[in-house]
Amino acid sequence: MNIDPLILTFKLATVTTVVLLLVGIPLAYWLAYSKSRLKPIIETLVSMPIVLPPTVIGFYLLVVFSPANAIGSWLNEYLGLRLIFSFEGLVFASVIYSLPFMVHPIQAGFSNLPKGLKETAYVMGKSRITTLLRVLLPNIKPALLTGLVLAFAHTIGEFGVVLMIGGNIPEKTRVASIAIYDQVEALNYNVANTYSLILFGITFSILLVVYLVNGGYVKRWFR
Amino acid sequence: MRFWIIISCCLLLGSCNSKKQNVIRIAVAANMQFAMEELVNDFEKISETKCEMVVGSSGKLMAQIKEGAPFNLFFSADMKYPEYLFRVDKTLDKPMVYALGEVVLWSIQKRDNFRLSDLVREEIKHIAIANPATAPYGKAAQQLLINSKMLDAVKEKLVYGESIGQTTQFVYSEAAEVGFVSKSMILSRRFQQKGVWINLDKELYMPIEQGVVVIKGEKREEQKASEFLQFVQSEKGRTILRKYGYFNIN
Repeated sequence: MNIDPLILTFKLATVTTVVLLLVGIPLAYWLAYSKSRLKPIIETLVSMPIVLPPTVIGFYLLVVFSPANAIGSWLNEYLGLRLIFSFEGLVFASVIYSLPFMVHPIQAGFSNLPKGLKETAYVMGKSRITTLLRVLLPNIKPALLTGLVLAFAHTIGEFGVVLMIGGNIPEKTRVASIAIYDQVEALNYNVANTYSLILFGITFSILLVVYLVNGGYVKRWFR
Repeated sequence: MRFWIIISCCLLLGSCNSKKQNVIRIAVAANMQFAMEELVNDFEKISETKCEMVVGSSGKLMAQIKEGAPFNLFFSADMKYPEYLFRVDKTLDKPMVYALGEVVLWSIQKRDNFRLSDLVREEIKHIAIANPATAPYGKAAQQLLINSKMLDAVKEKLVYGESIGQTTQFVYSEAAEVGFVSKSMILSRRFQQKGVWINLDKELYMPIEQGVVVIKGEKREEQKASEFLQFVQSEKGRTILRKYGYFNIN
């Protein structure tokens, strides 16, 4: 059995989660505190990937990033980026696809903090950035953990988008979910079973850790 | 009271079902879909029987049939899947070859003097091919690349569609500059005027033997299915198959 698809899956999930963390925190911060009229629209857009079938996202990415299209050819010529049939493309697609799973928990975390916390920090002369990094974020650690893990796990579970724009290239875009699909089609149920069991085990452990930590079980253990 | 309502609803639904007696359900490999549409249309003109088509990749359709999906006929893209169904006793008879399929090289952009050796050229970044592990047309295309000693030179450019349908779509959307697709797709009305395509040397690959089986079911449905199969093998049916680029078998 070839373990490349599994490695690739975790590489994709890791890269995606890091990018999402960098994108997700400012976005969630803005959504939690902004009073802009645009907010409902941005909120809706962020939530769309939960509702839309992944095939819709995959289909539009395929059309938009095709070199035959203006955007696709521009990216290709000026930035040398080909977002179809490439790992970078999968990262981009996964970031969109898993965005709500990162943003929602963090946004909820910010919203649930007492207002006084932020204001006290401002009154004491701390800048917005310092307040965010030293006061707000440390207070929403469980929300951050939830966001990180959900985004990571959701990217592992990605199938439809990758199927549409990946092109099934070994070591580049053939992730575990695609490899499983292939093996089932090729009637290699044993191999499919092995991949599936590994994914099952790993995702189970990841989620279990989150519930243990966020439920306070770990703290009680060490007391 | 409620009990009787439920019972009468069930009876009502049941009677609706029995009206659809004259329908057969045909599982069709993606490469055959356009030819099959025409075959079905012509068949329905001369017969009482209505045909419902379900299009998919052969592997998926086979797995569904194996698990008891209600199909009466299975037109596969190869012999492997029908033979498997025959071995597990799901079919009426041994699989029969109904068509020989060809692979062609297709590009949406017009290319002067387009030929196989163009694949190594630099402006071609991606070559779409159906997954050789699961799709018969992908296997044939891979065989062709090996036999023409080009596989190593173009390996990095290959992108794999999960079926010949997706491979066609990769080329059609110009996500890949060129691709190996089935001749039957290119000759269909949908794609006829699109881009350029070339025949490939049949010394370099085995044309794809496509098999069909009648799936075991109710006697009457089996009979209807056999009638449709006879129509496919009649002169009229064969003319349609030829029109879609399958060459004849006897």
